[in-house]
Amino acid sequence: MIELRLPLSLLNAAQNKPMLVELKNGETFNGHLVNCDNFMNITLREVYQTNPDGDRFWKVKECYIRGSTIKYLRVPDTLLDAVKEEQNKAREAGRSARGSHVSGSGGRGMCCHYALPCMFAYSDEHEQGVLPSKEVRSNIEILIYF
Amino acid sequence: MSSLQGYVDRPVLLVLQDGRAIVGTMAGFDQKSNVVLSDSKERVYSADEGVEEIPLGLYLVKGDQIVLIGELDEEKDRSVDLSTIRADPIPPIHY
Amino acid sequence: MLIFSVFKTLTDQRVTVELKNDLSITGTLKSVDQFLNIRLDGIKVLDEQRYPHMMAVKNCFIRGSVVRYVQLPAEHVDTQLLEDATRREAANQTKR
Repeated sequence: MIELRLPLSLLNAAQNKPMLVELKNGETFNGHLVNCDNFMNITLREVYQTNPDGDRFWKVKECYIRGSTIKYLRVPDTLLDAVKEEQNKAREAGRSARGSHVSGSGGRGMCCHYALPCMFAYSDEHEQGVLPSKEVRSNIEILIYF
Repeated sequence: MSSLQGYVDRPVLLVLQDGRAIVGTMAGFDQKSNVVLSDSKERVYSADEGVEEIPLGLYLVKGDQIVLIGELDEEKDRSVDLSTIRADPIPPIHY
Repeated sequence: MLIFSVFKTLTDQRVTVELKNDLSITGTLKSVDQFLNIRLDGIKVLDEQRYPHMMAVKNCFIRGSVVRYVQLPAEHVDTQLLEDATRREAANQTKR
């Protein structure tokens, strides 16, 4: 039953891919996945961290996040097909797909979390700062999503 | 844990502990009820505006954050005009 | 484990589950697992006016950890039997 290990396979396949992680306290982390384990402990690199209100951010070179503090992860859409394909292949070959690793397939990047473009604009020198007001951000959100 | 098996590849509504409602297709799950949703959208409810749908794409939700997973009756769901619905968000879990 | 068994005897009965977010859902108990996760069929949310969020949901999986109460059909619970079973389980546990 491939579905039964899909969450962790997906996370494994997300190595070197961009992702958004929200913690239970509302903080978010945008970065590229370096490594992960079966507890969903993860390390990210080139991270943009925002506070729960989403009005402040920090740039962090690398960070470790304990799996138990995570609410959800958002990963690139293209990963799902890659993982399913990989698992099908593994099943056909009659071996376990555990720890399968999808090497860098040229999928398109994920749709960014709305905070990202503002952060790039503001973080050139200071690597931390304040985001525009909620109203401005909601407009930006619309621009990004559509 | 077999009780989630019937939801795979079906359209579902996910209610999270913080009160968020997310719809999408259940792509998979595991023993800890971690769930993967594809083509997911958050439905943002408000008392004085219609429901807003925000596309989220591929989502992995930790099992301990999940309150409820419901199978959507697609026909019934389509027949609801979300812009006419006025309701407060689902309350968050309090222990 | 005892309560797990009790729930198993109640499959196909109508129950009302009150969640820790104050939502109450009535439905037919389809299955339960060792975490007391619950599958309900033919569900109806109490106070649909206030909670229209689940209008198009026909059946659902509820995580055991968010359940506050389950209202059981009294006529389908043999409380005498349950008391006896509880004593037996308690006795077994002290023996161990």
